Amino acid sequence: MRYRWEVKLTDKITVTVNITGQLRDIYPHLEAQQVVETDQPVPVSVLILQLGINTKMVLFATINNRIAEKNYLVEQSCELNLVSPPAGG
Amino acid sequence: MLYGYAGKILKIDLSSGKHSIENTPEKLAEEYLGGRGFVARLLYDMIEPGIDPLGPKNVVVIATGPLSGHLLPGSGKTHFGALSPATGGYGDSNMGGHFGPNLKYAGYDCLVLKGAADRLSTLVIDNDKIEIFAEDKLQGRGAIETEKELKDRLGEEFQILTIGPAGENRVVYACISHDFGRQAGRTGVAAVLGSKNIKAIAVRGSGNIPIFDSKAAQKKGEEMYKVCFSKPGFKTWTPYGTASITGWANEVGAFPTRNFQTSYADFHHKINGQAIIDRLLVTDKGCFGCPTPCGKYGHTKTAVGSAYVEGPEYESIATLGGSCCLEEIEEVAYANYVCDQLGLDTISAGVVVSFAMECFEKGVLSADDIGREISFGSLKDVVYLLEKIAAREGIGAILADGVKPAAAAFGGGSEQYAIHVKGLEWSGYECRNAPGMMLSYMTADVGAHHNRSWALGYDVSQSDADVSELIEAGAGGPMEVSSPDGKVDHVISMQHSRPLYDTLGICRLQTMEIGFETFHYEEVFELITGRTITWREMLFISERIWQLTRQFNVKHIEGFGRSWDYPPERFMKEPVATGPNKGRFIERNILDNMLDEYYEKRGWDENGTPKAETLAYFGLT
Amino acid sequence: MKLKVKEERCSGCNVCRVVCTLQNFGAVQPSQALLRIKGQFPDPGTYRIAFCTQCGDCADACPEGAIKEKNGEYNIDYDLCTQCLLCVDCCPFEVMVVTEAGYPAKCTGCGKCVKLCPRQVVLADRDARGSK
Repeated sequence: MRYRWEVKLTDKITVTVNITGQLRDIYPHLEAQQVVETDQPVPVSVLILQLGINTKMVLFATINNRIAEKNYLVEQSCELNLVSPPAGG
Repeated sequence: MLYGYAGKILKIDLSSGKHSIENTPEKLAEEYLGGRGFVARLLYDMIEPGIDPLGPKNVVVIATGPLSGHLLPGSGKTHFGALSPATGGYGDSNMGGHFGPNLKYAGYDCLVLKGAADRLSTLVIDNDKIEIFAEDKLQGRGAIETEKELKDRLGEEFQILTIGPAGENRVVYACISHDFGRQAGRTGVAAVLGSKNIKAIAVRGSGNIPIFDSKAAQKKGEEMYKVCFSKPGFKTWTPYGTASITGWANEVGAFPTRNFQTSYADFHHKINGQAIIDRLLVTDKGCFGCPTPCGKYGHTKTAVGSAYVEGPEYESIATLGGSCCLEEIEEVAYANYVCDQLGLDTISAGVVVSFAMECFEKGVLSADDIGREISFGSLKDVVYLLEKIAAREGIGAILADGVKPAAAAFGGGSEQYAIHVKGLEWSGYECRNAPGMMLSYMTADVGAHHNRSWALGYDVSQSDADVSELIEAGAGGPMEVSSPDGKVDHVISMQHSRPLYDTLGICRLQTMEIGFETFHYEEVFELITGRTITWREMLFISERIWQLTRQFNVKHIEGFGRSWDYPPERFMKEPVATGPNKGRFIERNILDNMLDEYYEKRGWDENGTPKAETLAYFGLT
Repeated sequence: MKLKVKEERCSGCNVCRVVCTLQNFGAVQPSQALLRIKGQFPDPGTYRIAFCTQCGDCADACPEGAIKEKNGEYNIDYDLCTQCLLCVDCCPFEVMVVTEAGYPAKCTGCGKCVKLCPRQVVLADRDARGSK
């Protein structure tokens, strides 16, 4: 967990974001995978908003198959997976 | 030659004990594909209006799809249907496990049951040998213990369906059980089996299914599994399964609590997917062909009893946990087990029990009526009521027919909070601030069911979030009002896409949850069957089935029309009591407008009856 | 390829048995699969898997010497097989089958089950020696 005061403000970072499930249906402007350029420091929740996704539609996010809390600060070149709520069950 | 299909339909007249085997008609396969398509078409053709759903003229159809039993992800689904004793209209239900593939290996795409046996019986289909055995000793035995006994008696290779005492006693929301934890839960098909004196159906299939190009189909099937393995969601979906919706449903104020009085449970973290993993889990249990087993098989211990049980799924958490207010996962799981053993649909049973609890709370029912005092949150009371219902004893005799007739019998204003549509109890999403999902429940063909169209995501995604609040990663804040605009189109679209999986005989969760692309199904369908058909063309077939099931209701439910498509008064009159949607309710005129738009887009008249030209367009005249 | 299994991971999906028959017999017919899965339900709620460990009992039983060992794995030479089926009877794990043509069949070590098992239950055993 990286806190805001541990991160030096630098140039932009690029992050790969994968979306799946209902997010693909509800946000048809997004691809299954996209590379996003953004300013540091950026928590997962803000990155989600930058993509135009309502954060309530992300059940949880993972980075390297581990759950990343919505206030986790993403790093250069990381691969973020956004998991939508299961569509019923 | 129908490649990909077993090629035969087995029809059994239980009254005479005779059976016939017919070729699966090519036209039926072409126009309806299989699974839910076969169920809808055969029921429409074989059942006359005015029959008793619990009499010998009702027909049970059990159908596999063209993709069932093949090498591809999620190929284990089976579809069931009958005239529903709960609604008097079209009833169907879908189930995972292993029964369907083995029915195909035995040589049958579909099983049709008419008439009624004269004593409680087991139907055994051992490839081409069809036998009906009297089973007096199985009377009153639990669904799970019956399966165990039959597995021991017949052998591991047999796949078995059972009903519990609830089915034998024709509780209108009795469920069919299979593989120690899977059910065909909704609409009471098990009650129809009970009325036919069928306690169990066992099938052994030792054959194969003809494939058009088996080498290419094998290669494609292997590729499909590898694609699943490569999806980012592959590892994250399986551990929690459907229970992972619990926290989210509470966060967005859609979790039915206290008989839908409110839509938020402050104890939800004690009954969620993590609670299952921490406190119950033994095995990730899956269906035939599934790479992402979402079944959570575990062991629960409570003061009332202990048991092994598969689940609870989200729906059972919502209705037994939320609606009945059972606050610990062990209690929800044990209530789930009791439903499974008695053979009760957990969704309807949970809603009926919570309805009874509210009736007592409001003084509509007395302790004398019920046999004791009851309260929300008491596992003992839940179990007491479930047992009474399954036995049709005391108050159970009325509750066994569902909340709609129960409310009519109890009066006292209880109709307002009998949570159903068309006589089928509502499932696990509270929708006073979710107009799309509300419409989904109103217009689902079988009654209040979520699985046709899951529009809740569209409703929730509209609520604006404030950037600053998000940095705190908060949850549980108030939801913005969700607009009905644009929702009708999404509902209609999902009512075609989601049931298409039931028609093909496969699970939709690989697509819905881990993003597995549908073009793979197009490709493998062609290699297996030799038939070129696009997903869009398959969706057209799904739409045809939708029109057919609506027409089925018009044909069978006297006076069927617009008034059958409305939700309970509670949702239009009572604001949500607590949680993120506190204060919300839905105005009737919003529902009127959505229904008007829905009917128009469906090609139905103002009363919701399909117009002649609509039926003609889909080849249904 | 020799196999080993981690039964505790098994979810009962049967993908191994479906691909086994497609690979070895060109048909989707899990009843003829060369490994078996048995659910232990309701208690304790896990799966047991019977598979060919390349123990060689079938080769010992064959009166024609039709089952031959190479690199620790046994395979049937159908030119020599007389269809007596003694091998099928004596398999200690009951994982040999009789084909529709009346011949015995055993695990060929093709490894498709390993490749496709979604749960990494069936694995290649690189260090195995034949064992019961």
